[in-house]
Amino acid sequence: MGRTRILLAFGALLAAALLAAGCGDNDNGGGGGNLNLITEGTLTIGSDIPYPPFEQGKPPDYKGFDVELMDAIAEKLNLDPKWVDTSFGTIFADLQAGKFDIVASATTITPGRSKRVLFSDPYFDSDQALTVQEGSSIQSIDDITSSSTVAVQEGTTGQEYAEQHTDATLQKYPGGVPAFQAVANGQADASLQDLPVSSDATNKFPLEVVETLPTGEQYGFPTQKTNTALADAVNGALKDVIADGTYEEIYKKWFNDEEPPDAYQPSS
Amino acid sequence: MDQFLSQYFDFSFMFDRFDKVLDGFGHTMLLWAVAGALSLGWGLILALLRQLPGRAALPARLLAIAYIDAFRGIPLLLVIVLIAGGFGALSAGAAPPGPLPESIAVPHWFGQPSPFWYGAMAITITYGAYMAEVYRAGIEAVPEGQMEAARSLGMGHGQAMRHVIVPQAVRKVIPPLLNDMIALMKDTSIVAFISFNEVVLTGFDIQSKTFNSSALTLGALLFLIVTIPMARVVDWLIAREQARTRRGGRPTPTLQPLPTAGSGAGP
Repeated sequence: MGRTRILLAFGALLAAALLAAGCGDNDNGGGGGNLNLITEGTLTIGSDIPYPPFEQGKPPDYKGFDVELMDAIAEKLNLDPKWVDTSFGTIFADLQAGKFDIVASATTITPGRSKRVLFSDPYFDSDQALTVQEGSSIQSIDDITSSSTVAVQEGTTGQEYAEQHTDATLQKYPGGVPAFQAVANGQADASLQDLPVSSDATNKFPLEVVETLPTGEQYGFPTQKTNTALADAVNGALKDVIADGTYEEIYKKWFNDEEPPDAYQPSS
Repeated sequence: MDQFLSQYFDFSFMFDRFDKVLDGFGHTMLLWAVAGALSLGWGLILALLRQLPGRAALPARLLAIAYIDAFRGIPLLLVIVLIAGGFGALSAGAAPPGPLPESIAVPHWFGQPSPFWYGAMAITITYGAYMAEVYRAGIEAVPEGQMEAARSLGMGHGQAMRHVIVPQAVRKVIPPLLNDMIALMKDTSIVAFISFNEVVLTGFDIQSKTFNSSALTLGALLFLIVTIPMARVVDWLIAREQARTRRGGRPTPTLQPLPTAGSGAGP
């Protein structure tokens, strides 16, 4: 028994050392280039924090799926990531106004948004989830009537989905957490938000996800419409991060050890 | 510059969304009317509690002072968020259930949604404290002789306040109270934070769907249409009051000049 433990501990140490070594030798990227950055050598990233498990933590030690993935992409590009916390409601206007180079904020690619910003290749497949109090009479989107109240985060695709597929009264909150809180408190009957955020919320509130609504939606990193150089560089780095297994590692870390969809698996 | 103009001053865009923004502004006005009336009343009650005489009323005075100090010192946004979250968590409909019946903790009175009432409560709590201080200034500006005279006529403290002091005090502080009402109107926009569909949230909603911020500019213009005339009324009231009280100013109507003694009478 004792020996097994020591062996296990040794194995863990070895794994950690290998991981550390693997992370160290990434100094071969493009660097600098002409990416039209706000600050040369720095990738300024806008994000509405917190939105767990995508972005969370206290400044400057932000964590989460988006944060670690974008940090890995910045590393491939030889850039220092600099995170700017902002509000999702104004995030596109801020991007256009040049407050940051790129947005990493669980942003669904939509035709409407694509008119104003340039999206990177998709980096995450997102479905919507219907979240209710445990034991609620609402068990699917069909149970929502015009007398129901649905809490959403202002300006999200969850709000859009609710507007298109239900005739419920909407409560639009500035953050995702207040919307879940409203359901937990009985101020709203249900919440419609992205699946990963919703399943995360069920760990913190007495709520349950009763229906997953496939949308074909994917997340991308928006850049300024004219900055194709940066979008191309990010797409290249994203491919590298997927190919070398970094993406898979980060994905498993933040989504209950689940395998990422095929498109995001390293090609063997 | 073009980007700025098309983002914030797209007038044809404003024209297209005018109905929606105006609808939001209607909610703003309704919240203003309800929260304003409640604040005016609650502020007066607090001011009167603070002026209660005698040792027996000491706890009431201290409580009023503590309340006013506390709620003048907490940002309205925090009061709103805490009321909405706190009341909700106390509701019997919450999970796990709290002690308050759902009809009180999640109010839907008079057809208005719960965020409306949380907002009205929070604004009343905060602005009641501000207005109590305004009323106090008015009460303290009434000469002490007025109270003494009223008491010597046999009125109790309450009667003297009601019939003599408060009518004079309120008249003196109408301009600052109106100023507070203007500030209160603007602060109703904070209730957007707890999902009340007033003019700013309507603007945000349009902004996030269209990437155009002109609806917010339109909201700002609607505010100005109401607040600028109110500010002029305040100025006019102050000017009128000054003219009345200035030495050599127009006397109050009760002081009619006496009929001249020269012509008719005489030995």
